[in-house]
Amino acid sequence: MENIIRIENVKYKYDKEDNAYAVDGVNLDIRKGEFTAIIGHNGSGKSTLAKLINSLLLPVEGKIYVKGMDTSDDSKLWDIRQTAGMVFQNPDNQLVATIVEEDIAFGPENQGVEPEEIRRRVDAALNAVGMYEFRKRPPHMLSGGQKQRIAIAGILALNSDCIILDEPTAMLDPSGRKEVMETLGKLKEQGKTILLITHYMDEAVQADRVVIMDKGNIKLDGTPKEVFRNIDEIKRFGLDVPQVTELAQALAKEGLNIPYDTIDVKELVDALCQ
Amino acid sequence: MSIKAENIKYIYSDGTPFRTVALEDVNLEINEGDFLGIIGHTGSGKSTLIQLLNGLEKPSEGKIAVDGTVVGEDKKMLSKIRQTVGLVFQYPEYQLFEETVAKDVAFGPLNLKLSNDEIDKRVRESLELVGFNYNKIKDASPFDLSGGQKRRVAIAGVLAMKPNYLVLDEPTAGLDPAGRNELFAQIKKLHERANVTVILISHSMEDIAKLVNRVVVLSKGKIHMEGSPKEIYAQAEELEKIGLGVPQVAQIVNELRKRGFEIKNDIITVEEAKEEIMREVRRRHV
Repeated sequence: MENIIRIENVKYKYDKEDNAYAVDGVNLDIRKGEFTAIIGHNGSGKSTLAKLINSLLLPVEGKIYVKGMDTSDDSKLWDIRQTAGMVFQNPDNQLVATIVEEDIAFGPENQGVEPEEIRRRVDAALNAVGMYEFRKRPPHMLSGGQKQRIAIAGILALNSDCIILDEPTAMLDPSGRKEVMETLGKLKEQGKTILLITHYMDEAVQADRVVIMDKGNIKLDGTPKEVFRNIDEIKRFGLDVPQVTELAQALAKEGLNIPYDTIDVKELVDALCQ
Repeated sequence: MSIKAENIKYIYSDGTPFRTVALEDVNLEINEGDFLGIIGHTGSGKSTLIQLLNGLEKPSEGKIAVDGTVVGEDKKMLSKIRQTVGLVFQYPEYQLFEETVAKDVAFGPLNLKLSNDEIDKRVRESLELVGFNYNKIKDASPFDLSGGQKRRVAIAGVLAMKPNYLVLDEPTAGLDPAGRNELFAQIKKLHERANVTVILISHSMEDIAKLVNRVVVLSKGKIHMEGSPKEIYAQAEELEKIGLGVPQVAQIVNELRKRGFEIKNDIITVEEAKEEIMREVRRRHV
């Protein structure tokens, strides 16, 4: 599969005087259509990496290519941001209009898209996130989960191939988090590339690939099963592990025949009921 | 000494088409020394309830008494009530504004017209209570701190008012697991050592389970369940029905029980679950 994002030996620091790099020599390729979760504690460099991909920051060393475009090439800036759209943590900081559908139309309008095409895209985007019936509402009357779905729809209306989400569920309640995760699952089926930065391990296990960052670098990279079986190592990075994996390994140590890489409740229950 | 809420009803935008009943039939007593958790989905009335507790809003019906003083009865008592019930909002770090950490924490006590010595003493104590080294932190700019540190400074600002009750609305939202554990450890210490009654609103079922001794579950503006964390999490299906999650361990226990495992239903930690499952497995193999 084609790599939609290529990160080659990228280093970044916020302050020239600083000795430590926020992102310190990262190499990462993201394939088209892949759903990747990036986890790491605060200050591990994951949000910086997202901003580098989106060309909000430029690497001090190394190169990043989004769909073949160099993020430090000024002339490609808008194409890059259109290809890889970002959703941020706080739903109240990213909606601009007073009516939901106008908010979603804001991006394509600025690109000079024809009005009929805007209408078509806005409707498609609203349907994709399951918010069509709320199109005439003012955004401040929506719940946090609904606001984040509107923010995602705003990116879909730009026809972005890739969506980068920086802790989109941090401010949401369990049902809001579920709404956002279900929306991401649907978008993946439609072939969108998803890069999800999160602290929640139960969200990371739903991805195709999990990348763990610590001190500006990638420490673990693989399928959720490959990554989460390393519970001791993950705890050392100051992160949580799924309770189900912890329980599975504790039971395996007691001599039960339970795989070390159990990451799902049903999987564990089935193994115990055999 | 307690906060007592009797037959509370709260209506938003009464008399308009947007009229919403945010709280109804709420009866609640929070006793000194409690560590109470309030959970509920967005819109369940949690935030409205805590704003009533310290007199930011007045109930449409019913009454709230803080240590015997009825909220709203005498306007002159409101500032006293707000000092007794300290409220830490969501994302309190956005409310920091002073040049130095010490000045920011001193802002509340300054308005109480206390002596300078008393203010300095309170600032020092409050910052130490949330785990800072006073001399190291006092002159730092609040804006140079990490997210978790800023939040602790904001909490210190409320503690400097010497509240008997500390209400925290989603104190760990947006913090990473290490920052969250650190903050919860501090809150736990506050409760144990400084004898502050804590009321904690959180979405994180795992955290509520670990910390509090009593849980109130709000749903659609009413108290839906009340009890110890174990009693509440034993009802996993009921919680899911009203849009709340349960800790993963409780889900596993619930599923296993459905499939015939004879294990307790009030398990909330991985360690307990392991013990119970092993006991059942051994029983089956005898």
